[in-house]
Amino acid sequence: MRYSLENIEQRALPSKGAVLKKLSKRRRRDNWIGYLFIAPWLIGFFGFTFFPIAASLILSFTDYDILSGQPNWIGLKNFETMFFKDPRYWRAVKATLYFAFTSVPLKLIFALAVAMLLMRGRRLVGIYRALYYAPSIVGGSVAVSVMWQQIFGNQGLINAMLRAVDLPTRPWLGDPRTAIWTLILLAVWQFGSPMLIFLAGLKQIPSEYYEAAEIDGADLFAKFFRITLPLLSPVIFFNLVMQLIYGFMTFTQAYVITSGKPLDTTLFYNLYVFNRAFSDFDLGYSAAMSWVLLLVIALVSALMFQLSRFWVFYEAGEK
Amino acid sequence: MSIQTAKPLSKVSNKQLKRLLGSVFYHGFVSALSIVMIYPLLWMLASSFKRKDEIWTKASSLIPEQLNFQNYVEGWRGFGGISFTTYFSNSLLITVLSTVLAVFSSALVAYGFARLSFRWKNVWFALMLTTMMLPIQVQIIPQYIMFSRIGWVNTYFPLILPHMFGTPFFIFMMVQFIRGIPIELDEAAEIDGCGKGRIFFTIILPLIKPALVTAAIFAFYWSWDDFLTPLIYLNDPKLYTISLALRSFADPSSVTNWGGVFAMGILALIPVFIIFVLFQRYLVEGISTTGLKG
Amino acid sequence: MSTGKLKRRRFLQMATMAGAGAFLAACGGAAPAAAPTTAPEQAAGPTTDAPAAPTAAPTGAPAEPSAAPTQEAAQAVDLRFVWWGGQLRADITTQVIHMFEEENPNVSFSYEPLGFDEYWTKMTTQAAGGGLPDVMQHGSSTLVEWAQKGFLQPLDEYVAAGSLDFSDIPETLQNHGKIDGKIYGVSAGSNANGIVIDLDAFDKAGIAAPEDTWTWSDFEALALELHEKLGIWGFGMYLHHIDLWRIIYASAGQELYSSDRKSLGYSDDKPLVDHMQMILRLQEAGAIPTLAEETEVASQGPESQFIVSGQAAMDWLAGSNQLVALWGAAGENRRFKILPIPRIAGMKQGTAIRPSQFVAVTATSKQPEEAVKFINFFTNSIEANKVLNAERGVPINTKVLEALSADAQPAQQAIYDYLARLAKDSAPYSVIPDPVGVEEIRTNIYYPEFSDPIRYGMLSPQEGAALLREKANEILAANN
Repeated sequence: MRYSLENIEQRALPSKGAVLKKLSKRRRRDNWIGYLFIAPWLIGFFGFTFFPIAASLILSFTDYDILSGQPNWIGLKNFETMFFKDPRYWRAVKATLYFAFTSVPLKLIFALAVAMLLMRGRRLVGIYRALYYAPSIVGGSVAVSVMWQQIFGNQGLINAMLRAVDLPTRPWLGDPRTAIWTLILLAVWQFGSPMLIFLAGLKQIPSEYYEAAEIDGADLFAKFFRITLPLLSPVIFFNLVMQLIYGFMTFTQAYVITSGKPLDTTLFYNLYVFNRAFSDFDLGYSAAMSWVLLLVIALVSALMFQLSRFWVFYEAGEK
Repeated sequence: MSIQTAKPLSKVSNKQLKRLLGSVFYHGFVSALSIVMIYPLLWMLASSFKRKDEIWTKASSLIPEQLNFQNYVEGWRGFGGISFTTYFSNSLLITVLSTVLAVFSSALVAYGFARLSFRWKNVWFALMLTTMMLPIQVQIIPQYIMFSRIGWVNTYFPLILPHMFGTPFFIFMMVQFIRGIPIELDEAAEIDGCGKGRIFFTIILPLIKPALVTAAIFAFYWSWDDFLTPLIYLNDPKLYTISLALRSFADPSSVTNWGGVFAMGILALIPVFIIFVLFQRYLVEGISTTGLKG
Repeated sequence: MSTGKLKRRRFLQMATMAGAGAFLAACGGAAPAAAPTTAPEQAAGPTTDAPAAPTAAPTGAPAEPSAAPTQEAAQAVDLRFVWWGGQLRADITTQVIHMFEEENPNVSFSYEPLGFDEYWTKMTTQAAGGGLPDVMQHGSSTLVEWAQKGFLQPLDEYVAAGSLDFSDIPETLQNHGKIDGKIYGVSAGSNANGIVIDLDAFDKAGIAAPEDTWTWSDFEALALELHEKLGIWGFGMYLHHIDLWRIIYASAGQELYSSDRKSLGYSDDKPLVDHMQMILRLQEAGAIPTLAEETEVASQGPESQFIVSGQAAMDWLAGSNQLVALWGAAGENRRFKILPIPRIAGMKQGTAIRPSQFVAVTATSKQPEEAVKFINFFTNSIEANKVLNAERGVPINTKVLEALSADAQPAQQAIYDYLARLAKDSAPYSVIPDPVGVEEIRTNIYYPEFSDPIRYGMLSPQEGAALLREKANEILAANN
C-alpha cells in the first residue's frame, strides 16, 4: 500500500533524511512553543474541567445524597452495590453494549457510503447533502419522541406499510425485542456528523493521487482500497473512536423517547446514571457508575490507539 | 425530487447516453433515499400546520386539513410575554461567539498536539480524550458550585467562555487532519525561516479548511442545541436560549401546546440548516475540479 | 524539487486568502468579544449571592422565619418564583405575577417557566449548590423529602398571623401540606385520579354510563363489553399506575404506608394480586392494550392518550385537571365524563382528593414575608384565580371556587362536578404524608421490577407483589 503511494507521490526530496535529522533536533527544543500552543486547553482544563471531574471521583467513594448534603466516605461500597446487588445496573450495561456495538459500525458504514456517494461534483449534490444531514440537526427535543412514535407506533408509518402488504404488525417501541432497534435506527439515521467528517477527509485527499492512479489504469475498487481507504484512515480512526465513545455515552434519545422502557431494554448507562443522580439524588452512586464507565471507555480507546498502528496511515510520519 | 439533466435525446451520442443513464440512476437512487431520510421532518412540518384537535386525532396524515399558521403565531408568542424573538437573538449571540472561539482555539491546540513535540505530550493528549469520557450528568453539580462561586450564575459566561479553551472533539479531529498533511511542507517553510506561528497561520490553517468548516458546523449546532448548560445557569427567562425555550412547551401533567412545539421546532432548525448549506460548499470543490471525472 | 516549490507557492497563496481572513480576525477579537454585554446587569438578582455553602446546603433544622416581618415591607424586594408547566401556565402565572407587582410596587419578580423534567434537574442542582428560588412548586412526595431535608420553611407562623389567610379553606385541604405537624406547602389546587369515559362511545355501544359507585368487577365486564361491541380497547393505558396501588389499599381500608413510615402499611398482597390478575385477563382478551402497545404514548401527556384518538372508550386520568388538555386535543365536540376509580366489591371509596401540586417557600429565601404574601395572593385572590382559571387544579378557597364555577367551560365544569361528587365519600388524603423513598420505590422498584415484568408475562402477580413488598420495605426502612 505504502509502496504504491510513494510511487504516485513522487515527492521524495533528495536531502530528506538529513533535513529530518536536523529538524527533529530543533523540534525537541520547541518544548515551550508546544506548551504555548496547547496553553488554551491546559488553562481550560485546570480552570474549568479539573474540579468537577476530581469532585466526581471523590464523590464516587461517598454516599453523597444531593439533598442531604453531607457526603460520608464509604470506600468501595458503591462499587460493590453496583456489581453485586443492582440488577438494573447490569441491564444498563447490557443495553449500552448492545447499542454501541450495533449502532456504531452501521452508522459509520452508512456515513462513509453516503459520503462517497455525495462527494463528487455532481449537480444538486449540495441539496442532497443538506437533505441527508437534516435528520442530524433535529437534536433531542420533545418533538423527536413524538416523531418517532409516528413512525414506530401502533398506528405509525412502519405498521401502516406492513398492514398494506398483509404482514403482521407489532408495537416496535414497546416490544422488548425491538425497542432498542428503533433507537439504533435513530442513531444510524442521524449519521450526518461522521458523514461530514468523512467528506472533509475525502476532500483533503490530493487529487493528484487519483490522477496518477488513473494513468496507471487503476479501476474504482483499486482506487478505493489503495488510495481512499489508506489516506482516509486517520479520519476513519477518529470517527471510530469518537462514535464509540458517544455510543457508550448515549443519553438523549433514550431519555426523550423510551425513558429506558420497556423492561429496561433501553436503559442506557448514562440514562441510569442520570436517574440515580436526579431522581434518587444518589450522586455518590452515579459518580461511581460514571467512573467505571470512564475506565472502560479509556481502556477500549487505548486498545484502539494501540491497534491503530497497524492500519492507520499518517502522512506526517510521526508515530 | 426527481430532477435530471434534461437534454434532447436525439443529440446524444452513445457515450453521452451511457452517462445520462448513469446520471438518472444516480439521482433516482439518491433522491429516493433522501425522501426516507427526511420523512420524519416532513411529518413534523405537516404537524406544525395542524389544528390542536387534529394533531393527535389525525396524527399519521402528512397533509394538514388546511394550512394553519396559528401554531406559528401562538408558538412565537413564547412564555409570559417573552417571545421567540428574544430566544433567537440570545441563541445567535451565544452560538456565534462560542463557534468562533471553539474552532479557533481548537485549531491552535490541535497544531500543538499534531506537529510540535514537547514533554508529556502523550499524557496531556490522553488526558484530554479522557475528559470526554465522563458523563456530564455527574459533573453538573460540582460545576454549578464552581461557577456560582465565581458569580457566573445567570450570565452567559458559563455558556461561552469554556469554548475559548478548545473542545476535545475538535482538537482530536483537527489533529487527525493535520497529521494527514505532508510534513515536508512544514519543513520546507521552516527552512525558509518561518516560525511555528507563521507555519500555523499560513500553511496549516488553510490546509485544514475542510476540518475547520466541519468543526464550525458542529460547534454551531451543538451550541445551538445545548439545553443543559442554559437550563442550569440562566435564571432569567429574558436570557433563555431557544433550545431551553423549546423544552418549556411540553408538560406531561397538563396542557401542552403541541402545535407550538412543532412550529417552533421547525423554526429552530432553520439557522442550523442555513449554516450547513452555506458551509458545506467548502467541502465540494477541490476534488471535483481536478479529481475523479465522471 | 520544483514540484515542491510549486506546491508551496500555491499553499501560501491559499493561506493569505483563508488564514488572514476570518480566523485571524477571530483571534484578535477573541478575548474582548467573549464578555457578553447583556449579562452583568442581569446578574444582580438574589440568585448570584449563592446563599449557602456549596455541599453543606441547609442541612440542619430549617431556618426560622425572621421575627420582625412588618417593618421591612416597604423595602424593595426581589422575589424569584420557578414552576414547571407548559405555555398556558407560563402565560397565566406571569400575568398573576404582574398583578401582584402592581399591588406591591416594592416587589419585583424574576420568574422561570420550565418543563417538568428540566425543572427538577435545575432545582436539584440549585439545592446542592445554593441558589434556590424563593417560591417553588412541589409534588407531594418531593414536598416531604425537601421539607425533611431542610430546604423548605414552615408556614404556620404566617397562618397564625393571618398573612397567609386560611379562613376560606376547608380544614382537610389546609392540612394537605402538613408534615410532622407543620405546614410546608400550600396546595395550588385540588386534584383527583379518575377514569375518563367517552360518552359518545358508550352511546354507540348502547351501554349506559356506569354508576359512580362501580366496582372493579363492573369495570372488567364493561371493558370487555365495550371492546366486543366497538372493536376498540375498552380501557386505554396505565391500569397499573402506581397511584392505583394506594387507591386499591385505601378501598380495602388499609394504609399504604405504616404510621412510622418505616414499612408498608399492609401485609396482605391479595388486593394487589387481584388487580394485576384482572389486568392480565383484560390484556389477554384484547380489551386493554398490552404494555408494549401503551409504552409509546405513556410519556407524552394527556394529549396522546388512546381515548383522544378514539382507540379506547375509557382511559386513565392521572389528575382530574388533565381533562382540559385531553378534551382540547380530542376536539370540543366530543363528550367526556370523569368517574372515580372503581372500588373493591363491598368496600369503600378509594379515590382521594389531593393537591395537584404545592407552592412552597424555600429555607434560603431572604424575604419569606413577601413570598408568603404572594402565595396568599395566589391562593385567595379571586381576580388572580380568574386568570389562573383552575389550570393547576380546583381552587382550594371555597369562595374562589364559587366565583370560578359561574362561567366554567365544559371541561372545567366536568372537573368541578367530579371533585364535588368525590368530596362526599373521598378517601382521606393520607394523613401520613409520603415517606422518604417513595420516588426511589417508584423509579427503581414499582415499574421496572413489579408492574412491567408482570404485564410482559415474565413474573406472576403473586411473586411480583411479594417482591414489591420486600424491596419497598427495605427502602423505607433505610430512608426513614
